[in-house]
Amino acid sequence: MSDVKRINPRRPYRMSPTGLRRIVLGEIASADPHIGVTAHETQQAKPLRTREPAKRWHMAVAHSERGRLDDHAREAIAAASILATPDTGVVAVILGELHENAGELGADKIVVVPDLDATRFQPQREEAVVQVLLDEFVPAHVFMPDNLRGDGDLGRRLIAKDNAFAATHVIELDARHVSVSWSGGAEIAKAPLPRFVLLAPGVVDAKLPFAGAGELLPAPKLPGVTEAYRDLGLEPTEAADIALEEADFIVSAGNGVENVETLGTLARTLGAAIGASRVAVDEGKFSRDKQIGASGKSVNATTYFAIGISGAVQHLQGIKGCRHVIAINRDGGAPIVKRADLTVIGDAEELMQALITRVSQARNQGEVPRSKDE
Amino acid sequence: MSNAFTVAALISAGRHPVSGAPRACRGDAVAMALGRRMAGDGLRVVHAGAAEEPSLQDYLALGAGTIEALPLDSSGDAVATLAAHLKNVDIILTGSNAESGAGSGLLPYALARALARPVAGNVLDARVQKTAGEGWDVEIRQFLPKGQRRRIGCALPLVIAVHPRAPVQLKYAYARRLSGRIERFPETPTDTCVAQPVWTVETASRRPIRLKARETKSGHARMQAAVVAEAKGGIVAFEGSTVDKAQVMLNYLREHRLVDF
Repeated sequence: MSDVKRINPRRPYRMSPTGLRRIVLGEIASADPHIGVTAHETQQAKPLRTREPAKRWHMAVAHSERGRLDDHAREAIAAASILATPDTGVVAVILGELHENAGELGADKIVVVPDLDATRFQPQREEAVVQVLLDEFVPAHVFMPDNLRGDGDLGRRLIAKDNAFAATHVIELDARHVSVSWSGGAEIAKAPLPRFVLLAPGVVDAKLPFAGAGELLPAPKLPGVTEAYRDLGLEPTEAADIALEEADFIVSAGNGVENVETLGTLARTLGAAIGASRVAVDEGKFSRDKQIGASGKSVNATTYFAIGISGAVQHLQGIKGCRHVIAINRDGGAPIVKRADLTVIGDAEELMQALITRVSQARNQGEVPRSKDE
Repeated sequence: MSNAFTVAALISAGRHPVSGAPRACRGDAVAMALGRRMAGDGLRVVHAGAAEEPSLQDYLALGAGTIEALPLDSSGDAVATLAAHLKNVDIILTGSNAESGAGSGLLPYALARALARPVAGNVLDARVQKTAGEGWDVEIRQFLPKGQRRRIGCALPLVIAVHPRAPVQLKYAYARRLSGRIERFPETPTDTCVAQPVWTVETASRRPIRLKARETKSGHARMQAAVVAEAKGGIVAFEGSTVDKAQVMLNYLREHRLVDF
C-alpha cells in the first residue's frame, strides 16, 4: 500500500449559489442545493458575553430608524460591549421605537424611549432623559454614533454639559486610547479613552461572537421640559428632487430596461429617486448625472432596486453603501445576484408593471401589513 | 441696514489638509456669508486667536470687512474668551468643524452652554422675523441626511452652527483683502482652568485599525465561516407568476420596514 493519503471522491459537499461544489471538512452535509443559499439561518445562538453580575456600566446611546438600528448605531453598541470587562454591563439607550433584539447586538440592558424618535427635534427632552439614565447607571464610558441624525448633536450637548474631556469623530479606539484625525486628516492624534466617545462610521466591526443578556428595562418617565425650540416639522421633499448621493430609496435601471416610462412610474409609485448604470446612460436613456458606479456617483441608499443591471464591478463599487439591494434580472447567474439581498428572476418590464400594480393597490386600499417582528 | 438684533460670525484659522497652507476654513466662510445675508453690514466677525494669523487675510477677501481678533491667554480657553466678548450678541454663527486641530465641532455647544442659550447644529438657512410682541424669532432650516430638511423656530439669543452645504455664494475679491481691517483687542484673563489631557499628534502613516471582538474559534469553525462568507448571497425567487414575484418584493420591503404602506 502506498503512503499517499486517499481522498474519497464522493465525500459530502454542498452547492454554493454560484453552482460550485464546496467541500466543508468536518461537516456531515447533504448535497442539498439550497443549503448554501440560506446559510445564515443555520447559525446557532451565540454564547453570552459574561455571566458575572455587573459592577460597572458602559452605555451606548443611539436613535433608531423605522424601528431598526443602522450599522453606525450597531457599531456604537458593539464598541461598548467589546471594550467591556466581564464585570462590566452594557446599557443600550435607544431613542425611538425598536423592533429588533438589541441583545444580539451586545447589550445587556436595553432602554427604549419610543417618544424621542429622530423625526422630531426635541434635544432638551432627549438630554434630560439621557441625563436621568446617566445618573442611574453612572457609566464609565458612553459610546454614541457621530452622525447628523441627531446622535452627534445630542452627544455634543451632553459633552458640553459634562464639561470634561471628550472625543468626537473617533477613527480608532481600543481599551485605553482613542484616536481622532487631526488637521483635516493629515495627522492623527491619540488620547486616553474619555467618558464620552462619539464614533465615526466604520470604526468598529459590529459582528460579535457573543450576545448580551438583552433585558428590556422600562423607559424612564419623560421629564416635563419646556423646549426652547419649536419643531416646525420636516419639509415635504419630492423623492425625484433629492440628490442621488443623499437619496434613501433608489430605483436604478440598466441595460435590461427597455421602457424608461415604466421605470419612472415605478419610481413615483415607490417614492424613489432614479439612477442608472453606465450602459443605460451611454445609450442616452438617462442623463449623465444619474449614473451610479465607479465613473458616476456613489450612493448610500437604504433600499436600492437594481432593475436589469447585471452588476459589473464598477457598478457594485458605487452601491457599496446600500443596505438592502433588490435585483430584478433575467439572468440568475449575473454578478448582481451575489450582491443582492433579494433577486427576482424574470422580465424587467413585466415585473415592473406587476410591482406598480401591486404597490398602488396596497397604497390605495391602505392594507395593514402583516406585523412580522424579527 | 439697521437691525434691532446683533449677529456675529466666528472664524478660525483654516489649513489646507494636504499642503498645510493657511486658507479660510470653508465652513467658517460659509457661516460668515450667511451672517452677511442676515445682518448686512451689521455683522461682526470675530476671531479667537492671534491677529497675525495669515488665514485672516482670506476672510477679508471673502468680505469680512473688520475682523475682531481676541488674543487667547496662556490657558488657551477660546470658549471663555468668546463668551465674555459675545455676551450681548443675539445670534452667534460658527462653522461645523475647524480645519486645524481636532475639528471636534464642540465649540458652538460649549459656547451655548457658557452663555446659557440654545444651540442649533447643521443649519442651512436662518431667517429672522419680528414676533407679535417686540421680540425677534429665528426660523432655521436644518440639514438632515437622506435628503430631508427640518424647520425649527427659536427665540433669540441663539448659537447657530452652519452646515458647510448652506446655499451661499463665496466671492473672493483682492480689493476687499486690501481694504479690510483687523482690530486687535487686549487679552482678557479668564479664570477657568480645565485640565485637558493633551493629544499626542503624529503623522497619519497608517490606516486606523478597526476595533474587533476577540474570537476564540477552532480552525474548523474559522474555515467554515470563511466558506459561508464566500457563499454570500440573498434570496433568489425563480418560481411563480409575475404577480407572485411582485408580492415577494413587497413582502421583503414590508418585512424590513422599508416602506410605510
